[in-house]
Amino acid sequence: MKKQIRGRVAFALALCMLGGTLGGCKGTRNETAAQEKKETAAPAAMGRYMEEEMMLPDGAAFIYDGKALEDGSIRVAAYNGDVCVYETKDNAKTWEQTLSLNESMGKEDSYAICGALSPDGSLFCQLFEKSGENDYVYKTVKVAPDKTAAEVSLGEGRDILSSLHYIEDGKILAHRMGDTQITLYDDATGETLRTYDPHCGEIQFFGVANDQIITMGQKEAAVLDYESGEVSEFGALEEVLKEDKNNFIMGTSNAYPIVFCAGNKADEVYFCNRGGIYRCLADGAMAERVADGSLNSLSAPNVNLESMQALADGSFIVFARKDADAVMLRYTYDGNVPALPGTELKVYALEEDLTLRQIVSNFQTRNPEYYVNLEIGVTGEDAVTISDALRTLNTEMVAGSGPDVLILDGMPIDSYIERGILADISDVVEKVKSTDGVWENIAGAYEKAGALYAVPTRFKVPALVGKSEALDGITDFASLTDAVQKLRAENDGTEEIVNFPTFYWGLHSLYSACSPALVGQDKGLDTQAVSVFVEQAKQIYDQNEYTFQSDEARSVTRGVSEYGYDFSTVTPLINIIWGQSVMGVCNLANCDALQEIKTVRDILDVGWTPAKLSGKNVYLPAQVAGICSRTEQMEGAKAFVEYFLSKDAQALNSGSGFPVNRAAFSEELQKEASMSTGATIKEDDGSEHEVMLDYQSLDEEEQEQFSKAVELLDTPALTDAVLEDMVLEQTGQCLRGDITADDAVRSISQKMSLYLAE
Amino acid sequence: MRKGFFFVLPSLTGVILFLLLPFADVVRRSFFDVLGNAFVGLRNYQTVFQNGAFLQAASNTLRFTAVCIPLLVTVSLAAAVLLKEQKGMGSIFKSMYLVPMAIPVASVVLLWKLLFDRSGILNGLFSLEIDWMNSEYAFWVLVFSYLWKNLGYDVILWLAGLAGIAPEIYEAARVDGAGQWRCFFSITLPNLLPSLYTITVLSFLNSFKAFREAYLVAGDYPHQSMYLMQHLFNNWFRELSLDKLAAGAVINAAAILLLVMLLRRAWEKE
Amino acid sequence: MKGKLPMLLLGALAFLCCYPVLFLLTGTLMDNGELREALSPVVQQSGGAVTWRLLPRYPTLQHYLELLLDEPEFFVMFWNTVKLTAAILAGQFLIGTPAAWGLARFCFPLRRLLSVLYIILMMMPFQVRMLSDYLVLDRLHLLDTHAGIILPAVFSTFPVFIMYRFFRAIPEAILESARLDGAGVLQIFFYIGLPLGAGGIVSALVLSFLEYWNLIEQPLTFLKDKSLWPLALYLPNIGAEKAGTAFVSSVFTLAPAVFTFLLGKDYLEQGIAAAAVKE
Repeated sequence: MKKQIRGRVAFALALCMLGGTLGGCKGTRNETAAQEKKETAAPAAMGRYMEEEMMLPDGAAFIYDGKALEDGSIRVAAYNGDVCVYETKDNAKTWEQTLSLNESMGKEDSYAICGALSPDGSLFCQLFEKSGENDYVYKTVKVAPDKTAAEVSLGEGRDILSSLHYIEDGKILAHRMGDTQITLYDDATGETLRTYDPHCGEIQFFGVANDQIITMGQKEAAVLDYESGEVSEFGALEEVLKEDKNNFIMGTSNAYPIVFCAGNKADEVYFCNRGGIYRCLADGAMAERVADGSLNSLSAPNVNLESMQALADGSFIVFARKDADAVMLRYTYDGNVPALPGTELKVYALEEDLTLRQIVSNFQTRNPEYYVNLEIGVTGEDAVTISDALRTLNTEMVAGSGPDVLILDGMPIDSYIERGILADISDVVEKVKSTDGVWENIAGAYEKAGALYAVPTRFKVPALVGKSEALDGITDFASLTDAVQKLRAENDGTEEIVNFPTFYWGLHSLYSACSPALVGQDKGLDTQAVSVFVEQAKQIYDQNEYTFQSDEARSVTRGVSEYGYDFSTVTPLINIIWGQSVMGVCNLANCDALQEIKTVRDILDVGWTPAKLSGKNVYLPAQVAGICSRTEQMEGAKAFVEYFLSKDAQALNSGSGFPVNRAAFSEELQKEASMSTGATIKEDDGSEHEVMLDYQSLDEEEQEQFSKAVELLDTPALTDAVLEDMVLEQTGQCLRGDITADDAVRSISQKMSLYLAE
Repeated sequence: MRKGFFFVLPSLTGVILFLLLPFADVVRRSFFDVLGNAFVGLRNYQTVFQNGAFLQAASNTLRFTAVCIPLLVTVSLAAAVLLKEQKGMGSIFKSMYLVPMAIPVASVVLLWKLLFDRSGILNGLFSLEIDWMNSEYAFWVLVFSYLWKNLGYDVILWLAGLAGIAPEIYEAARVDGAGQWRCFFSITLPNLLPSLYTITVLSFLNSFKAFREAYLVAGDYPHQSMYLMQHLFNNWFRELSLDKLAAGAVINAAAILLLVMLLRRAWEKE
Repeated sequence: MKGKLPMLLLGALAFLCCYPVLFLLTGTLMDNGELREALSPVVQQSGGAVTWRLLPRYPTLQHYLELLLDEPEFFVMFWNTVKLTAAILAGQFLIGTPAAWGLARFCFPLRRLLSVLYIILMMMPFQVRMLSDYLVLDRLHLLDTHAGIILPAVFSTFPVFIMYRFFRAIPEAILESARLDGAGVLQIFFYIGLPLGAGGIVSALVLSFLEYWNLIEQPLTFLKDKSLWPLALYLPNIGAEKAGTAFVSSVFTLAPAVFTFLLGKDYLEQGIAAAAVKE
């Protein structure tokens, strides 16, 4: 008996140890995280990299490549109507043009897709030229330091190149979209010299640093040595890069999520991404962060990286695009500044929101004495649900270690107000009211006894958008259903009467417009209204011939909403033009939508009306800001909320909603149209042709009209995520036909009454 | 005999620190408002007793306990009695009954989702269309889950109890002409009473754990019949109704105390 | 009852109990296509019902390899769980065993009260204590550390309750004779109490193991740093692509628990036998 037991114990222990050692091998990720934690947690540590924006040559729209030369000067290849190369010897105070493609090729408007600078100052680029009416052609050209330009065709392809880099003169590394290999060409003859196979599938882009070629595939990275073509001593870098999936998400063209450069020592490679600037040593197993991205522009969503260089004095220059402009950011180490700004402000939101991140980044830049720490409750990457996140948040708030500023979207705002966990921020709102003015009907959405504890900083307008004749006479949900049935009879060939962009967003838009009716005056359940909602939603959905495929009609709870993008702000106009739908319910969130409607009116009689489905004038509060009453940083928190409401932050074009700040609101309506969209029109005889619609700006009358409509809005939609999930889950099942409307109503009523009774 | 106390001391200090102190805090909170600032006396208790959700959850929990424990106790006893007769296969079965306890909660949830969903395996096997988790059956799914998990443990306990009854007593009874059922009721049952106490308490404890599976499968607001006290507490916490939570917790503890005292009384008498 | 009927009934029961494990195991061996096909009625609500073959059509070890090689977080969490469980069990043994002994064999004032108290505290559901526990841990600076999970668990009264009953069952006569031979209190505990109560101790530890191996609520609330999370929180969403991983991670989580069971099974039965008999 004893022997048996001993044997079994040994076996079990062995298993545990095996698990442990394997766990140990994969320790890189944790070491980096732990390291970062240690760095940022060190008390009163001094020294950090300070950001400074440096001047670029006049009119530079974006930078193809930038190189720091040994003598301290900086060379850039830029586009400013011309593809040219500039140099500065005095740290970007003045720039001197050394090469110009227009000059060398006798053209007027060269435009290149990508380019690279060689160590000797040559520029190699792929031009994008119009040849004839609608034809475009790509040419690869090299301009030597003596200003002679020569067309060089690389290999046989005339396809678009996605990355170009030089490691040594005369030889250029290039990669075409979709390739799985990187090719080295002779830059004078275009002859293929060798190929590198990083074995990481389809390559998205690559960078070079210190004789290393760092390739980013779809999910994996590979670091190859330039000389040998094999995995180099920096091989561990591959694991480090792989850990952050954001390193693989390309945003705009010619800008990258991560850029690389050589360090001043032969065994160092640096890389820069949204998290900051990191150093990786040869044979090292991890990357050390030298500059924290959250303290400067690197973390801002509107900044996209183009390239970086390390300067001899230990500072770094990063070329990036901030919105539409090119910027050159310099990071210099200052040992006298604390590693972290003195005061930490914690901002919490349930879900990711890029506009919020941008605002945080801007606030950080304007207020360097604060360190803003943005925490997202539900990231979607683990098993944490909204309920879990809320419970943890509540625990922290009551214990006094919670966030200072809360973005209350999706949270039980009324509960929080009742329990006194939110502070009165009427004074902040007053301040903004007296300078820029606010939409009082909206800002006062959660007013209680004269005090404001939660203030929506943006709002969306639920609207019915569609053919004007169809929108006639719709004043509530019942009349919408009637209209839909009538339209179905009239429009036999149309697939959808009411457009559902995706199953979830279609339902969500309907819910937003109807939600205030579902909860009665005394916070009791209005079963009648629930019944109406489910039944009418089903009737409307049934009138659509287009039924969603099973995997598109998945569970409609928030946890599975697709793409992370709010499709409810997209109008159904494209579908209407194409004849697929007659109308749709959507949430107007910015002027782009209004401009789109105006533009489409040129070809089709369309319009919009507020979606009065619950009989009231409903608006959807968004980015609702509140301050935790237990915060110790009241001043900082109020400063943050004030910034949130300021014209500056509110002016950011956002799919999150119209600004509550009136000055920003007016500007938003006045803004010049810059977008355009393509649409396909189906003629009666079945032929199709495409049109380009350039958005038109709104004229004064139209702006006035919209403002008047906003003035009438008086009822906030319900934003509580738990309630919404409850209703939509059952309604979704009913629409899919899994359960009857009665069952759905019964389930919803049951759950809602429990919820309200608690 | 003070030395006994020293044995208990280390455990006691920890218990006071990590268990009693928090509980004392909970009791304190039940007399204050949410943020713990204003004394409100018995207001929270009043609110809780009048709270519809609380009453629903309490009745469900009582119903669950009242159904589960007797059910589990009798089924496991029956299985144990039957098992005792078997040799060979018997001990293999014994071990197999214990397996459900070893399966991690996450896996159980996975399985339940696949089994009891409207398009799940159960419906598929018997060509049914019942939405188990969203109907009155939800309660019984929970009961089944509880039984399935705890059967093995109770069977072992019963077997041990049964093993303790000297076979001579049975022989003597048989000589006197007692039949099988007579033996069972007059000999077996009375001798198992001590085991019954342990088993009841442990089963009671385990019935609280059923919440975990219920929550992971059906979320915050399951079907009404499955809505237990813990769901309520969970939700109160999410809505920051900490005052009601504290009062509810104290009421809960008081109920349990009562039950335990009653059990103890019943056993002390033996 | 005679005849085959009892065997059949018991056998059916046993099958019912073990079927899920079989289910999991076969699931781990199915490749993605088959899984998707089988699970789509539930996962994607595509109509029809889930059919589950007991033998996969195209068995594959793909999921095992994926989990072992591609998912470093799994191992970190596995190791975390091992660490937490081992520490908790060790602590419960060191602290709880003497406590159970003291409560069982000695009479001192407050003994009654303490036993009742221990039982009540055992029954407190977590949601109720959540905030208060958080506050206590915060004060002790134990938040976001493994110690914050380990320490409260070490002082759990459940193992004390179990061991208490076994210690009670030891005949007083044995202790008396030991005392007459001149053994001191501690010697009695170490040389008589522990060996005779071994069954109870192992039972308590095995049951604790199962409890803490699956611990969910405390880590979720008290551990912010994901690198400290235990296995129970590793729940990939059951999308069709990740179903395989979900099954394999279940199997890996299940295996140690089963091993422990097999190890302690005999002790469990022995120990329970001793306790449940006499009161």
